[in-house]
Amino acid sequence: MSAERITRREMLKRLVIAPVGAAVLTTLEVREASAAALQRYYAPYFVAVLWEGRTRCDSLWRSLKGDVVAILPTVQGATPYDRLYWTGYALGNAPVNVDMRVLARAVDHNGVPLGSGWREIGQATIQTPPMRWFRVEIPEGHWDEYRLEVRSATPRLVYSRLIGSQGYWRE
Amino acid sequence: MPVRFLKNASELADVSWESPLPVAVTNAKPVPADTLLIATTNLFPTGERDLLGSTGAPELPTLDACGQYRKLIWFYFREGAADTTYTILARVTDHNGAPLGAGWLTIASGTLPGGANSWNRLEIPDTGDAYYDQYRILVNRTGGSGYYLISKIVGVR
Amino acid sequence: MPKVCLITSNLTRFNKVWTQVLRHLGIDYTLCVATSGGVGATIQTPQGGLAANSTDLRNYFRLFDAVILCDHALTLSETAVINYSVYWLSWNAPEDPPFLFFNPHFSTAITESAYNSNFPSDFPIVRPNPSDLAGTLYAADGGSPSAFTPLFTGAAAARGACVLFLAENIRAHVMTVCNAHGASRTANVVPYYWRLNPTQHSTLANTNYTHRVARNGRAGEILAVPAPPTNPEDTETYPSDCVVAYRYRNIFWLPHTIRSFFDTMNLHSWYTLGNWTPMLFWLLYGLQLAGVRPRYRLPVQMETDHPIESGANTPPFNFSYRQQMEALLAKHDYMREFARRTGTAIIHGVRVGGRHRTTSASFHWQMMYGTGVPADARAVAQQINQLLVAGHREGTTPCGVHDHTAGNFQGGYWLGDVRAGFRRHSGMRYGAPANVPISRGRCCVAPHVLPAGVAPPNALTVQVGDAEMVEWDHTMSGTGDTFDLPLGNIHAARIVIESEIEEMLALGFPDGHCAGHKYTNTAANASGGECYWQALKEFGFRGVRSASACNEPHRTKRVVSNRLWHGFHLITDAGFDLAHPSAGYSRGLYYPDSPSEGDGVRHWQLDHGNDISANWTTSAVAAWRAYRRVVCQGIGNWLFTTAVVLGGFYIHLGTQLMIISLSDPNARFNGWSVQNVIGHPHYNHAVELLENMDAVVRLLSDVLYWGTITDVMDHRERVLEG
Repeated sequence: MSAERITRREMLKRLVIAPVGAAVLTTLEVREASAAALQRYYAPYFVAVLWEGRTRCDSLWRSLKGDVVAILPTVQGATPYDRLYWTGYALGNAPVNVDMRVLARAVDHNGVPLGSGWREIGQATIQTPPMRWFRVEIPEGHWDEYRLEVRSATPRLVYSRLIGSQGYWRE
Repeated sequence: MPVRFLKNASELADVSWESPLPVAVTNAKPVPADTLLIATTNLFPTGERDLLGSTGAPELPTLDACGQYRKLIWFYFREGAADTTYTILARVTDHNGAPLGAGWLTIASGTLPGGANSWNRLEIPDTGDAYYDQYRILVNRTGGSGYYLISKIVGVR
Repeated sequence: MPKVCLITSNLTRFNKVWTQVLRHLGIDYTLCVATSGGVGATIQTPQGGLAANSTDLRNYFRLFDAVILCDHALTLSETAVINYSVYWLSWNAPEDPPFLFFNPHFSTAITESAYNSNFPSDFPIVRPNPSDLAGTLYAADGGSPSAFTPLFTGAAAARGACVLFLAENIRAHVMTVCNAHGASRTANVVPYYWRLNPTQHSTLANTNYTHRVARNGRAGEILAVPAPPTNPEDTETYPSDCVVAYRYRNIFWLPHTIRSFFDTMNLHSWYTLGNWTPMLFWLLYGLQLAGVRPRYRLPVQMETDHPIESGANTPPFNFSYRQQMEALLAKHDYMREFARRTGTAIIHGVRVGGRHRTTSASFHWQMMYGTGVPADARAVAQQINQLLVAGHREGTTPCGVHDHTAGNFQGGYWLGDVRAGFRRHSGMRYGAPANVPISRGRCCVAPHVLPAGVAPPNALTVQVGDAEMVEWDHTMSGTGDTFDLPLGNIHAARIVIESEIEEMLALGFPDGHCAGHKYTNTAANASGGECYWQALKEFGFRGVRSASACNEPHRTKRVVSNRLWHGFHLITDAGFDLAHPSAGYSRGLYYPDSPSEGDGVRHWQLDHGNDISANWTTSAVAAWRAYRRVVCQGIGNWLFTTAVVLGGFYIHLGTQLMIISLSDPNARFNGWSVQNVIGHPHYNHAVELLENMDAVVRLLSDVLYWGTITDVMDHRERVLEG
């Protein structure tokens, strides 16, 4: 697997020049940033970073934390958040698909999942390069735990950040 | 000398790990989501029942004192795939907790989504805001084999 | 802080009672999931998926104070349940944690060669063989099958056992099923105890072994056996090689505790009785044996409803009123002495309403002062009341209001829309002749949006929870004492509660809320709803006992999800009487001519395979069997109430009043050797429950203590969600 170290300054440069992809999770709508008048829009009033880090992805579905243990969440205690936004940057030179998947489940007040497995909220794929940046909007909020997974036929390093927001819909 | 405070309006208590000094936080944002219910509903018998298993009690709410919540979110894990319908009833009470009248307003109904061993999510209501005081959430297995429905309901402000 | 590792192979069937109990004890836990029940399973841990026989897993387990296997079989014929754990039976170094196995599946039906080859050759308990049950196990509790399976016993259908704990030298009635087997998984299943291999055990018992849980420094230890009988009538005996609990090095082999079931533990709002797990004793004992010291011990306490109560017609006992009162006096004497001895406080819900709203002799006031009751009985009732007042003041038997006359349907608070002909007290703030509101105002507006000058001068501001309202245009009581009272408003609640307190003061109590506990148990467990909770707070209450549907049978209200409303506790109810209310009172542990559910065995479904009813008049052991099952059910339900529900366990003293011997009312049960007035075995429910629970509390001194309802409410505030 080829590894490329990247500084924050370099990452910012690439933000300016690289194409940004808004990955659309299948079956879930992605809303445009600029809403027409009288269209309901989402107004966040509190935003928190839930996860930030890098993941070495390979041909296995791996959580952003790097594990392949299916029962483990990436983030816990996500109940308060209406929406989650997953933004990332995939390194690597040879064009290859990077798959991403969002899973969710609810737990009881003792932290035990209500049942086995996960709800698959959706999957998305980007080809990197030319696309490197991706942004996934996860509108199914208030699940207690999310497991965000990536995989790629050719190993990649993926930097990403997951934020959650509390907000409300308004006209 | 221990620090003491008036606890439960009538007794002096020493501040301790077990009996912490109550404080009021200023400029605090309210917790936006509260867990309201976690229940396993036995759907081996047929017939309409609420999530807590009550049948034949049409006025009995599943959830009470919910007026502060803009929306309820119903998460559930269903063990089986048998056809099941759901009905969500709601009403408001006065400030004493007394329903304004008998009966309910039906705010949602339909077929319960999902197959065997699946996770699902329903928003109550699916559009607009709620702020009802009481809810009666009914399920009814109308065919197939019985199964257990495991639900969690979160109230969102 | 102590920490345990829980192992299951199926999250859906993982019973959330495990985590609920641990939460209440303040024991931290990590839940790991095995990928299957076979030896090749991977154990999914936060450190990754680890092979069951790997050094990595062994090192991971060493982070914990104990490892607990949560899965169990339903029959001995299953071939793979916890096969992956076979390797752990040999992880016995001092650094390895203790492993707790409950109803472990180690049957000879397991065919995996890796399991059989790795099973310790010196293990001293004979592996059960479903094809040779008689040669490898001992049928328990009379050997009759349960209609369903004893492993799924809930709040009813218990199996009985009396167990002798050898190191502690304590006998205790705790439900015990080591393994179970039947023709099918869930029908006609028989409970079994284990058979020891004496030679293997002798070798282990004489082998030195160093581990912190090896309290006798030996590799093998018999922890518990079926207790030998105390009366020759009791012919249910077991051979000397029968055991129910064993320690093999650092491995604890224990009976069934919590069944695998998709049960969720609600936020204390509601628990299906059929899903209760009354065999929690073995989990608590296992934790104690493993040295897992909980951060919190759990308070044990008991309540009674109606400390003075009577019946006019009491066949077949035909007790007079005086005899009923004398029997009650003996019980109260005993309970006060027990509370003094143990430091607990036994709450009594006084059946008020008899001063103003009813002349029924079954009410407390009427028994003391009603002319419909003979004078000699009234005199004894007054003695009981003096005893209760003294106990209230000294803290042993605190008393609170308990009013079956407030609402309709002979229930508690807010039963119905209107209480016709409600008669209130006189004096105080809400009694006659005060002209007070009895319904909410026709107009109610929040003060911050009320325009100036709109509300008339007689408008009132009321607060219920967070809702503050200015009300006007009320229906008023007038100056009389009797009127139709709409029940669903705070004005009605204040009148009702003050009326109850007035009666308590007239009875000689200094308050109506169990003194410093500021609590009472509500009639019919009907706590009403928000307006009643608000009114109770105003009168100084901190909490009440309440059913989930809190104005049964009117049924328009439910308690809040976490049973804590603005700091006010709504404690879950858990009753254990020996008859259904429809039967009036109990005829005994068992009585052939009982009405439906009119005795303990019938009411709690304890007649497995008819082995009590068919033998009651011909075989004395049937009485002992009935006793063991009743007590085991009671203690099991009480432990569930204490450890999971954090609720109020209670009995009605009057319901099982007359099944005692009048010559020795507080005697312990002794089969047919001590009889009641109708020639059937004497049984004192209060004595047996308290003394048997005391044995459990002494056994589980690291986990339980005799406490009070205040301790329960304090602990709920520590551990409840939200």
